[in-house]
Amino acid sequence: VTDFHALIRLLVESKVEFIVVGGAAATAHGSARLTVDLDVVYRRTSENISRVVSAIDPLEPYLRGAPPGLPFDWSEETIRKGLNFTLTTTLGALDLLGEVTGGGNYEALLDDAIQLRVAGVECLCLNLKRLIQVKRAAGRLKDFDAIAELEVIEEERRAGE
Amino acid sequence: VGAEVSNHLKNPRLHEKSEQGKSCRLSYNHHVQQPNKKPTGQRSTSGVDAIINAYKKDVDRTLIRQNLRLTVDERFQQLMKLQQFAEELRRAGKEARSR
Repeated sequence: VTDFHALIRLLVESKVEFIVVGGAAATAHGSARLTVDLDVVYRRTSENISRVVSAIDPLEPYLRGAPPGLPFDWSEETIRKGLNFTLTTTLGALDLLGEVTGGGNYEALLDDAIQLRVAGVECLCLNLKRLIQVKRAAGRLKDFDAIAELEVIEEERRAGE
Repeated sequence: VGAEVSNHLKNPRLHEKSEQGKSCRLSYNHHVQQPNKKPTGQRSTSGVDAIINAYKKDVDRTLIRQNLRLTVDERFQQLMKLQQFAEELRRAGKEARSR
């Protein structure tokens, strides 16, 4: 079980620059679908990469789905050389994304991020409209029913205004 | 539309193309929209919209309304409870199969 509250709090308190996207962002907007990981787009500056590494290091990060015992060096160099990391941690599944399909990187998403108050801290979360756009642009079959739900949320919100 | 969508979702060629990293939207339209002979751009949008609209009919709006009344913190708490429950079901299923 992923402790979304603890992971978000940890990233915020470690001053990591990130935007919550994917299923967790959908949950924040009112989705009833089950998601098991926290997807975040992190800013790929050297300072932020350094903060990401320090924040996650105590959580024993390891590549999700990789056979146990493989040498995995959790370091700034690893993050710099890679882009997207799907990790298991002691607080649950965490996807650290340098870029998201159909949406781009942190800077490209920043204008469409909203401030979210969760777990006693403030973090950025992709707004509903852009979340739908990103999922539509990605064009993955598995996302179609999720997009339908997000569009229904948008309709319900509009109706409630 | 629902049945048509369902048939095409089962089409192995569609999945093949998806796995190769090509646009699902294009491959969907290749199978579904070609008979209409509309320009490609229009086919893409209407094809995806048809699928999404078909799914929309099955979204439980009462559940959405209920969720929208919760705070963001409460939505995440609910998600974590759901995860725990799913995990418990998985464990119970595994245990039952091993008997």
